[in-house]
Amino acid sequence: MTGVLTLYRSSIGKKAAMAITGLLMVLFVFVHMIGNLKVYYGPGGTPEPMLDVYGRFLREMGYPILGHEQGLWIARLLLLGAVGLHVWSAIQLTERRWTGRDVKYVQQKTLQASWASRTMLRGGVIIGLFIIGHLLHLTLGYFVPNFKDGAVYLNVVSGLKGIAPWLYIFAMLPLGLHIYHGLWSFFQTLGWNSQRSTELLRGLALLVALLVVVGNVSVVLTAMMTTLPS
Amino acid sequence: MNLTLRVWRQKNAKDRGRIVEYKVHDVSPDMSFLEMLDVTNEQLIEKGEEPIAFDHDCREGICGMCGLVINGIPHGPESATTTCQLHMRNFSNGDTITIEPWRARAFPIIRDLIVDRTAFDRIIRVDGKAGGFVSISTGGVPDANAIPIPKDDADLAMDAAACVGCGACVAACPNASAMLFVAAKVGHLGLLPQGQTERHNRVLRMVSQMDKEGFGGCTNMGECAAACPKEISLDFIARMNCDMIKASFVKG
Repeated sequence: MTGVLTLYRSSIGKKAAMAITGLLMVLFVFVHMIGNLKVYYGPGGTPEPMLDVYGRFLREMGYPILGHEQGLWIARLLLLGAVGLHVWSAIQLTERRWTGRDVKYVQQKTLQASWASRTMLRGGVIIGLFIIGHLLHLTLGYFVPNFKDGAVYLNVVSGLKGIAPWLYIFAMLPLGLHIYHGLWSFFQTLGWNSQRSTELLRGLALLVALLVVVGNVSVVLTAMMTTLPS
Repeated sequence: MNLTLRVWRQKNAKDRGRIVEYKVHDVSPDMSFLEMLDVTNEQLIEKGEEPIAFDHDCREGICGMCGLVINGIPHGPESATTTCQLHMRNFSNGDTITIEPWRARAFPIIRDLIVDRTAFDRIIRVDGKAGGFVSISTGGVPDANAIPIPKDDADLAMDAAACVGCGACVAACPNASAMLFVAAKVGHLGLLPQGQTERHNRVLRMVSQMDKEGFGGCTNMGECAAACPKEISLDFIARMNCDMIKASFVKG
């Protein structure tokens, strides 16, 4: 246990914390994207839309060992902890970064660093704001006309109208970039990257980032263009 | 060649410093960048002005003393090259060249283009405890081949040992992180059998000292390796991360 503290005290340890919590979040986002694809089943289904069935599964998972929504809350707390540690480590590392160079260069060129790697902080802040907005919107039901708990499909389709879907689509750009650099960085930071495997790992990060972005954007566009029979 | 130089002039660590423009004439394309600065200084002295202070020693690219940020790139536009090995043929007649010192809180400016890099020395030394060296009891000279070392490991250790400690990695890093330097020093000893005894303590102490010196953290952008005159790979940073994680758990 003291090993964890020794490690976390160092800048490398804080990076390792960011890597592990980041991976947890990437896994969540990927599964979330796959869940979103159930929008394609449409409003039909018996007796309710497939998206609602999936929603119920999330609330009831772990039954009978876990009660109603218990599994869901375990996942939520785990994710909240991951977000908290990720943000806290990021703040500490950013503070080091901002004080590391007190006088700026008159002229500084970027040699090869990717756009994704240079926008991790800005992108992370945008993603954080998006998550808060997304929870208020489709979990708590703000700005969703006729929001009804459990009627996931109807909420999604009626919520993603007007400017909302465009905000969702806009947020996918920093998310994709963050995953692309973050997932590769996970391997580098934990010491599992080398010249032999770096192309493969960058490819994996790109693939995951693209799947998440394309999957989510397509779902948002589908919901946006779906009109409900009134 | 005639050039316009925009040089950072700063009297001492407390001075604010500023960019001063100089015209320099009669520069040969065969001169090294430092020889061009020598010519500039001669012309400044003739005019009765204070010459530009810059660091240099071997001028063969192996000592790590010279280091200037030239047009926004540490050691200038040529890759895998120190400032002293950069030649003026990389520039054209009439060019304007901006010359700045390394910029990092851990590298305070002594004067003009000279920075104090003793932070690196402190990382190597760490109060005489296991730092960037191995402790060896003196005695009889051991046989040259007494300790077998796999060729791949020896080669890799040599790649890391090529680090001359110039500090270009810190200068190039947008976070002013010293990870590539420390990783090279941790890596070359960690790969060899002689370095195993102090391996865990070494990485713990060197990383702790690196953090104390006020260098920024690594965000895996790779600018350090791109600027490194000895082409030290990011792989060594991954290797050090791995060592650091292991050492933390072994030593607590």
